[in-house]
Amino acid sequence: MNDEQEKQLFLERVNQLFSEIKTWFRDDFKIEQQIIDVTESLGTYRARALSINSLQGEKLADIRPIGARVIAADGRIDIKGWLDTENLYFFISAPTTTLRVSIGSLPAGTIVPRTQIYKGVEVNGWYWIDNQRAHLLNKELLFDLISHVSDYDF
Amino acid sequence: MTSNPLPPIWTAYKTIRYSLKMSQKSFKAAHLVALLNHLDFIDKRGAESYYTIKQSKTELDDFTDLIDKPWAESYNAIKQSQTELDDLFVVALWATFERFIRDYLQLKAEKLKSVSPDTLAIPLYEHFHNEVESCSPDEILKMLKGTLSVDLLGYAIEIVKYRDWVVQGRNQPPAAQIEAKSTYDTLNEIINKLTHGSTNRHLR
Repeated sequence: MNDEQEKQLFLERVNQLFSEIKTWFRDDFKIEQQIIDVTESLGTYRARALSINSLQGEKLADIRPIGARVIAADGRIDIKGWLDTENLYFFISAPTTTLRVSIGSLPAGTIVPRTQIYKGVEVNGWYWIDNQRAHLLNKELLFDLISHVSDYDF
Repeated sequence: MTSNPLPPIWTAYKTIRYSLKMSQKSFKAAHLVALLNHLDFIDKRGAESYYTIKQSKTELDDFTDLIDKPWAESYNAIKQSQTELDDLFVVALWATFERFIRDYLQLKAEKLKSVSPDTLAIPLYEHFHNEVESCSPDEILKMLKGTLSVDLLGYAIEIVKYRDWVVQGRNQPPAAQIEAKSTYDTLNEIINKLTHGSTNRHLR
C-alpha cells in the first residue's frame, strides 16, 4: 500500500465512523462538521472533523482525526473537550501487519506476523484503550467519553 | 535488574495528568463563582439609576476582561502543559526502557565470564559490556531481533524516532503520531515479553 492509499483508507475509516456518530446522536446533540488540515508523516491533507454541542448550544467536544501512522494501530482520532482528551485507535484483527520501518535485512513494507498488544480486538474498528484492553466504540462508550472530556453531566 | 521499571513512571504520568485536570476544574469553578458574584452585585445596583447601570456595564466589561484573561491564560497554559507532559514522558519512558534493555543484555552476557580459557573470559565480557553501553538504540533493538517479534521492534524504532523528533526540536512532522499511553503500552509489552518469555530463565 502506498502513502496515498494509506491516507485514503484512513479517511474512509474516519468518515465511516463520523457517519455512525451522526446517526447515534441525531437526537442527543447538535453535531457540526468542519474540514481541517491533518499534518503527519503522510503529508498535510484535508479531513472531516466533528464538533459536538449540547442541544442548548454548549460546546462539549471536538472529534478530530490525528493521523493514520500511529504505533501499534492503524489510525487515531482524538476526542477533545475543555477538560481532557481521549484517544480512539483503529485496530485490525488480521494476523499480519506491514512494517513501516526497516529492521536489519527486512525492508519497510514487509508483511510480518502481528502482535496484538491489546486484548479485546476481535473485529476491525475504532477502539478506546483502558488498562491495556481495547473497547470497541459504540454509542454508550462515546457518550461516556464525551462526558468525561467535557465534565458535562447528561 | 529484571523488574519492570516502567509502571512507576506511568503512575507519575497519570498522577500529574490528573492534577492538571483538577487545576483546570478549580480555575473554571473559581471563575464562575467570581462572575456570578459580580453579576449579583450589579443586579442589586442596577435599579439605582441609568448612570449606575452604565457604570456597572463598564465595570462588568473591565471585570470580564480581568477574569477572562487569567482564566484563558491558565487554561491555555494547562493545555500546553498536557502536550509537553506527553512528550516529556515519551522521552522518559524511552530513556528508562533503553536502560532496562542495556542492563538486560549485559546480564545475559554474564555467561561470557565462564568461557574457557579464563584469561579470555573477563576481556570478552568487558568488551561486550562496553559495546552494549555505547551502542545506539537501533543497534540495541537489532540484538533483540530473534527474541522479539519484528512488529514490536518496528514500534520501538518508531518511538525512538519520535523521541529524537522531540529532543531535536520538532521540526518536521514525526514519523508516527505518538502519545504517552501507547508508548507505555508498547514498551511495557516488550519488557513483559522479555522477562516472562522463555528468555527469562537465565535471569532468575
